[in-house]
Amino acid sequence: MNPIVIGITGTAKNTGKTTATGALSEYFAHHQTPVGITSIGYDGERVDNVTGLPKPRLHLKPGTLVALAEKCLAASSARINVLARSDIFTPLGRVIYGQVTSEGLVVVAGPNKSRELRQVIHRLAEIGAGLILVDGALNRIAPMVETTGIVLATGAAKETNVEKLVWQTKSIEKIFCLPQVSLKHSLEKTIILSQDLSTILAEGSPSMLSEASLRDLLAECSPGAGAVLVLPGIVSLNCLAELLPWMSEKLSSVIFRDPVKLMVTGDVVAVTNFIDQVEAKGGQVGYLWPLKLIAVTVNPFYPRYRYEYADYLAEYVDARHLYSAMAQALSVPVYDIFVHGVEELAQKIRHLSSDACTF
Amino acid sequence: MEQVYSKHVLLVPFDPVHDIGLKMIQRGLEEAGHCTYLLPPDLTPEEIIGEILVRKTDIVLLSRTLGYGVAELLGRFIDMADAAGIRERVRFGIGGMAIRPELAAELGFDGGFGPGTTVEEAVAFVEGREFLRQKERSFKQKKELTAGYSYQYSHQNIGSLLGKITQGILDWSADKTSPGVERAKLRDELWDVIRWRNRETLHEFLTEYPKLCGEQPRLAYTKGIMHPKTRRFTREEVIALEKYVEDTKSRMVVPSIQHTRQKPVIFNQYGTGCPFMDVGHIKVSEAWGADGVVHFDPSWGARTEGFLDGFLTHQEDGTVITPANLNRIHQALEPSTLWQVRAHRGLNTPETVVLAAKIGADLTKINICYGALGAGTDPARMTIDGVWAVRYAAKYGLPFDVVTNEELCGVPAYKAFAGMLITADLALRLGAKPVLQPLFCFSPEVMIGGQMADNYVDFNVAKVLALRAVLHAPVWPGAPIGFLTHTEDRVQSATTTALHACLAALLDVDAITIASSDEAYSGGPITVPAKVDTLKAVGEGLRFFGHTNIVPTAKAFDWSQDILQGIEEVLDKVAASGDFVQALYDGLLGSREEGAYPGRAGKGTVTPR
Repeated sequence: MNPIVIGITGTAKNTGKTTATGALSEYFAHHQTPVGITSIGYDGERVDNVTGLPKPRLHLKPGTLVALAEKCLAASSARINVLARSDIFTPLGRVIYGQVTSEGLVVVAGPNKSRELRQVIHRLAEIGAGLILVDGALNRIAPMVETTGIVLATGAAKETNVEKLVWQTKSIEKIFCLPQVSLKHSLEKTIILSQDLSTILAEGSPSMLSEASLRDLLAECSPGAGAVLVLPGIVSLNCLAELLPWMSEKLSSVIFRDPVKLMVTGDVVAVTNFIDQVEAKGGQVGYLWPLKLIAVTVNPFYPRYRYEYADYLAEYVDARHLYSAMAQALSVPVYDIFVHGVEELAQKIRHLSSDACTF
Repeated sequence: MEQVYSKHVLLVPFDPVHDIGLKMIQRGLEEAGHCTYLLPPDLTPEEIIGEILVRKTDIVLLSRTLGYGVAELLGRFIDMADAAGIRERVRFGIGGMAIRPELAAELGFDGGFGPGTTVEEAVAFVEGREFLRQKERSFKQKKELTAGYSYQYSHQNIGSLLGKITQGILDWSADKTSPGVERAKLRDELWDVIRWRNRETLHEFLTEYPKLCGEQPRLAYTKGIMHPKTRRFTREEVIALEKYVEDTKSRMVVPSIQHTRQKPVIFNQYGTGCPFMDVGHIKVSEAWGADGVVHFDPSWGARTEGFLDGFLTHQEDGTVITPANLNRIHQALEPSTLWQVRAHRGLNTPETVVLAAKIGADLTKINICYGALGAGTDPARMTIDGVWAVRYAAKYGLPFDVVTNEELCGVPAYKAFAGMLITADLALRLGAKPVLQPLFCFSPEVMIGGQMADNYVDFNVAKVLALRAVLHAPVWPGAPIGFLTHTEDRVQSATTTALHACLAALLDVDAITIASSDEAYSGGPITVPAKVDTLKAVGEGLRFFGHTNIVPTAKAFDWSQDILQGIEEVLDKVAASGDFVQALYDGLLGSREEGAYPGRAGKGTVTPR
């Protein structure tokens, strides 16, 4: 049986990733679901290395399965029984598989690339994890393509202006909720397909980072074709802008491999603008492999820098306002874990099914 | 041997300016046979990814100074690489001053290289080898101070005068003994270090030994009464020490601070009173480049007949010599560290040599004249004990320096040197290996005589030249160098030590002992930061001078001749007197007027054998 794999990713530091991971692991441990935990980054500092403020840490219950770098063992207070060693190396040593035997704090640093995360998920499932939680890393989401779906943690630490934060989060939601397309063609190159998806009209390198290469590719197909661009690699914001004029002229749709390819451009608002403009021209943007956005968690906390003391102070935006503005704007469920707990989110995760939107 | 295939390495200065570190790594990689390409600075992440996609690349090494928002930028960069499928085949390393393995893990890199990263480390990463920082950087071996010296006299008259004097000493000592000599004999014959380490009770030794001790040690052995300034370590303290040593050893890197020179071997003293703190000081000395450490015992220990037993801490400076104290300290040393236990004064000199040698010391310190005239031990007692100390040093293969700190009392260098040469000649007769230790200092002699009115160079050079004109033997200025040039200002102290160290290096001497920058004025145990000051300053000085030279003025040569002549005259008088011990009492090797007083500890304890 394939396990449910949940990626917990944050829009910035201090948005509540670890809190969500910890609360979910505790909930499932309590409800007799064998949980496996790993991280694509490093989590476990007692204090934030930038702000100096205390950080929440992962407190794991006995029975929890973990995949973490060897050096994390000594840094953790929980007792961990090592079950197996992988051949994956990180800056903190080899990734090992283990099981918590006496509860305590666990520092988790795990595989940091997609291929390795895939291997770790597979192995955690083999040793009995029915649910796998993948803790995210600073500004990184790419390996999360290996998960069933993601929980996005955001909050005032990303942006203290609630309206702006809602707008940014809505953009992310938009990017994640584009429809799926099935194709019979292989995904090794960027291709332009005829409107009926049957014929390859042109092909180029898998990623599009320079406008010139994109122009060369588009020059190969004739105008008015209503063609479909399938771009499996990454794309620069400049190339997205370059695509727009061609949308009504030559192309009807653009298909990316997955939402991560658009997220890594680093500017979700610009990407959303692109999607809106394509749609305004009657075109569509979709994915070969959508990644489900399960829920958004919000955290009113932010570290406020005090110039007069040259330090950071824990501050909060209005929690109720943050939650209600976010919940109103988004279609996916929104939780403030401190207020709502994780039960509802956990239930949603339990009943995850393939209700992805189709193209 | 495993074949290392040539890798294609893309070097990326992810900063607005070029990084010199990357260029050094580039050179190292090319020397190791790898193909490198250095990108221009200030490209966008998209442009860099584009370069990786079009070039054959196995490894990407980025350098970046962390600043506001940079971690986010690097995270996004790695994310793009992953999303572009590059991470399936390319490994990424990040280097920069603020980079730590934890941050590299958080940012998604395969390796992180912070401050102190060597080119070899980067090459190892490129070649996919695990870099054994510990082994490769700790490649330091114990140095042999006496190798290559013939110990032949080039000054024949001085050589023959010494022969006459030391024959007299041996004749005088032949039918004499002392409690110190008898204890040393017991320690030599009945105290088995292996059985002691196995915690066996050495009954035979323990029956006889207390009888030869003074009151304090005897009470400790017979009634368990502790010396008032000492106490045993608690179990918790011992466990903490063992953990501290284990932790520190596991991450210890022992650098060499001589830069391109092989010499001098650099010694640093410890002697806080507490063996635990001593171990801390030793580990700091090692980590900051000292090649050897010197054990300092308390002054009351030198006036006490016999050693205590047990793992003891002491509430004043100077660490009590006991088998357990020495053993714990010895266990804490890095394999490359030379360990000297001093035996130059007091009532336990021959036994110190035996005990230290059995525990594992590399070197000791002996000088009959200084022990008798500058360090408080009765001349007759010091002579008989000194002869045996030298015998045991020969037996156990322990080279020793012949210290001349009586200069500090006001004894002129030539007289102190005459005394040093007597002990050195005695050593050669008895098969031991002496190391000559002139004092690099601003001594009373030069304060009055004006030899250092202009510079500290000429007279110190004169001393070394004079000794080299007498005997082909290793020279180890001490102890510590720059004595009486230090002040309570730590910067000044570290600087003057460094300059004296550089002078010693340029004279190609074999070793030096350096002080911590607060040593003269600490008012208690020396502090760790002060130790680090001096070691850093010395390293910087040796880096600065490399193999260049300091040219002394002509006075250095004139003064060396004066010293030589002085040595000859003193030895002449001592030889003519026919009685070395009496010569010590009479002030021929340093008089009361010069500040040298024959010591009183152990007076009347020399007895017929």
